[in-house]
Amino acid sequence: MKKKIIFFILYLFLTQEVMAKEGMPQLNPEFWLSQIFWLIIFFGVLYFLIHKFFSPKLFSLIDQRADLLRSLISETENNKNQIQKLDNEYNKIIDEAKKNSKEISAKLNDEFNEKISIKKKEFEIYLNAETTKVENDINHFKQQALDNISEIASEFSKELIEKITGTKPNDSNLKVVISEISKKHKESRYV
Amino acid sequence: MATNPMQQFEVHKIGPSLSINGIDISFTNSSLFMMISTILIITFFILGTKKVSIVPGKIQILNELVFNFISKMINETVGSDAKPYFPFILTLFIFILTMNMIGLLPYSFTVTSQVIITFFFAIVIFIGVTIVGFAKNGLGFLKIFVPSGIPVFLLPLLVVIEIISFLSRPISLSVRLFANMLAGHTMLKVFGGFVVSLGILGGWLPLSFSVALTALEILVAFLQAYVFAVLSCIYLNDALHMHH
Repeated sequence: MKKKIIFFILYLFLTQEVMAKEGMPQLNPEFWLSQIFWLIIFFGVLYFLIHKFFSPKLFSLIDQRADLLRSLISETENNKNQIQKLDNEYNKIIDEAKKNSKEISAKLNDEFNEKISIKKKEFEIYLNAETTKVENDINHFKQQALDNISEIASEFSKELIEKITGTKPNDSNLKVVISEISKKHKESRYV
Repeated sequence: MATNPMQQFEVHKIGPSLSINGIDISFTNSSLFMMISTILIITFFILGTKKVSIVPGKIQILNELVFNFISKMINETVGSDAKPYFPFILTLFIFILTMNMIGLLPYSFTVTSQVIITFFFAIVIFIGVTIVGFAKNGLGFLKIFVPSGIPVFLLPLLVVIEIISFLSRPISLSVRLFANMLAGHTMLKVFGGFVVSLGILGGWLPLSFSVALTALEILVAFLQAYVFAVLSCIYLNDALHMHH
């Protein structure tokens, strides 16, 4: 088994030597160790610098920025909530004010209507009283006029008779005649 | 311009030979481009993190973009408990991406077209993930080879398949990146060669192909770095959360 493995490794080396000679310089092991050595050196230096300096510096900055952004976002969120709260309060106040104004308006309207109706009633009463008074006065004056009409008629008749006949008629006789005529006249009017 | 399209992948020494205990560690063109990539990445991060502020500048935005991209990828594939592995995945992604991109520049060298580089990355990830798996789950990590909800008589066969599949992870991971880089650059070189050989009269068609291929290669360079990082995260996820 060992012989086989050794043979296989030798075979690999030989074939690669052949391939290197044929045109694959990568398979020439001459500078393999040297390349590995320098690769370890440069890769190691780079890894060390990235691990110890560049990576922590940039990561701390990225974390710092993320923290800042997070705090700004939370601040914005708080401000947004505050604005929302204020907006809600404002809307609530506006709604309340609208409600109050409606209530006040309705109350004032009722009061006004009530006052108007009272005034109207008062005015109606006053108007009725005045109308009654005026009607009474009119009736009174009418009655007075009717009462005086026989007297006026007797005086007028007296003067007329005096002018026509040239004699003065007896006042008492004249009054009786006129009162009879006026009675007849009234009766004829009511019949 | 070299006529052999594979010549661009040749590694050669730059400067004097160096060795530790007889092991050759000479500085090569591959090492040079690794160094250039490292310097570019470090410069990019230094410029991006020099004056960090809450309101970022242009380079800081790019830095944060890369960080957030990898962070999001890890969170989506592994979850939030993979945060300790973030620097490794980020380094892996950005290192491979930079090396892929630099390789697209004319007269440069693509480090990720070297199979040993991609294989080393893959084997490190494979070993690392296995260690994490055993550290997190103990011997229960071996359950990863036993798929749940299957008939018992199929288990021996499926366990073998699962073991082969698990062991082939570093190979598939490394060969995917290496082969993509190799094929893309070879094709670019071949079409470049056509442009030169066909001259000003007939070279326009391969030139237009080269332009289109370059655009495609930029996409592939990014995509392969991303795929490598994502697969590493998926393997890590298997070790941390044991979905089987």
